[in-house]
Amino acid sequence: MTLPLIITSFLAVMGIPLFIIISLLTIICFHYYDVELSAIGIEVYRLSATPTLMAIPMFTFSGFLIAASEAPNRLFKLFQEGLGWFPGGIALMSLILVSIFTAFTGASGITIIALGGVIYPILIKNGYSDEFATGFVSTSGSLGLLFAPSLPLILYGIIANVSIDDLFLAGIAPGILIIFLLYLFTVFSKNSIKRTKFSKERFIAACREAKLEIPLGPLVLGGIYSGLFTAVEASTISVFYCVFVLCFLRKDLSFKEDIPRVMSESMMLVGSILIILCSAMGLTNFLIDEEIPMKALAFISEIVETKIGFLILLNIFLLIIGCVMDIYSAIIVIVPLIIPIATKFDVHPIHLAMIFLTNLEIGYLTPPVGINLFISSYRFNKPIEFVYRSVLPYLVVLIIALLIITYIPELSLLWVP
Amino acid sequence: MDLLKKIDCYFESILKWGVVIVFSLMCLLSMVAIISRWFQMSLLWIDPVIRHLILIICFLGCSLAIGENKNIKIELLSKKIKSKYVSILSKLICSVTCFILFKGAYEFFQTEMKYGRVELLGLHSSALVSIVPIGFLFLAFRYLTTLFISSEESQ
Repeated sequence: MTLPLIITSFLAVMGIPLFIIISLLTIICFHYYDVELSAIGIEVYRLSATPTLMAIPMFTFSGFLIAASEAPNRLFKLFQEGLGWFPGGIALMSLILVSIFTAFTGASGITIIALGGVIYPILIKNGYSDEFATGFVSTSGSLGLLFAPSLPLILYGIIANVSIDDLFLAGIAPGILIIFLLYLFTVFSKNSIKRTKFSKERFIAACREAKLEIPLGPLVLGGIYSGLFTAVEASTISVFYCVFVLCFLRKDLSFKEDIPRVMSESMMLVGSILIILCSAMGLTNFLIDEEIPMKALAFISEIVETKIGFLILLNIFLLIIGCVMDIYSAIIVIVPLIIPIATKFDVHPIHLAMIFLTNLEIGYLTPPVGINLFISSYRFNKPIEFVYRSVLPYLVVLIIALLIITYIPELSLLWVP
Repeated sequence: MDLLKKIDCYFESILKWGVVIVFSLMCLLSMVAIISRWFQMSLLWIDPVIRHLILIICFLGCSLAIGENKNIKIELLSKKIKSKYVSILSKLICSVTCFILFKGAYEFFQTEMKYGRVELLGLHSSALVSIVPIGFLFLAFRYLTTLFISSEESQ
């Protein structure tokens, strides 16, 4: 099995789509262990038995709709007027806004492309250095992954068989912690920061302008947390709300032209994620049947004996995974393998989810292959080495947040029933 | 070459409209399910239909992503080695893999034809299962057309 593994790993780094790599590995494993090829079809078809799956296309479509409209600009103006007077207010409002935006768009780099172009010049205009602003917008691409209704949270819930509603609740405190630490960093960094004066009239005008966008968050999250509807139903309601507001009330998007375009664009991402899920189902079940997690557990138990030791090892492993693997693929492939091991070390499944996702959030930014670095370099026309340098302080802050999230499980379990 | 590009173009527009129709249907059905729940009505068939539509969306979306080269991948070396031969070889590997997946899924479909039963909305389980082999066939076909187009272009 070593040679096929080497070959498929090589093919993976050569840029062959991940679902092909996983499928190839599955085909080889099935052939090697005399498993019928039709088992692949059975495993793929099992996807149609996943009840929460619908939230993925629905929330992705809503996120893409928001990104394609003028809503980000209106919300940005609102936050600018509301928080611009605060010390580091511009940075704080940008952090909050990108988090909300990423929670809806699923950290697919859209935040950097859609909001980066708005935030970057404002940061520069407000006295932040070029390096600081570049690092900031690069970091913003994956911020908000822990907030509902983020796609990775939903996918994690599906794969790990953990309640998505609980995950949505669990993500609040760690997510706020990350934003707070980054905010502290922006306040205490050596930039000369301008502060805008608060104007009640301008703030009210901005509120009026964004009056139709403001209810979306409370509608979706309030509905889920109050028990009015489930996360899956919330995803449907968000689609209808976005289409109605952005096409018919705002007229930002044309129902005839833009909606089909956004549908096909967003479903490309959904298809790319779900096909990995399809292809990985066979492989992960095969690995579980072959007791690979148990063998890995036996190996890890020889190296570490305590929960803390395991968590250190887990963080190092996930940071490396985050560097080379996309978040969706990592959730699909790695989560089923580490869950039995983490359970053995008495790590709560919800806490494990927060550790896992925070690590991968950092992975987006970790040189040399963090995807956000490339998107940022491309979007702002900066040399990649400059982007690497610019994100380093943010990486330190994020790693501090990761350590707190990892070693204080109460933070993740604060609101979980 | 022109014919191949034309076929690919037609196929792409079929995929795009397919996505729009299937996704719209999914949205409408899920809204109907929510409203019916508010009125204490239970339409049990809606949920499984939606889940099968998601499976269709998965294959349609992935086929579209193949055309735009937007499938999720690790690009450690591919950005450094930009050879047309590497690109052709990778597309060949992809299309062969998809054909093998199609073969596996087709075997499953044949088994369902033999031993399956009527399940959803009077449909035989093999009809529902057929989404998987047809989906993989779509992917293989898409890789094959992009392979031919890029090999023709490189010549």
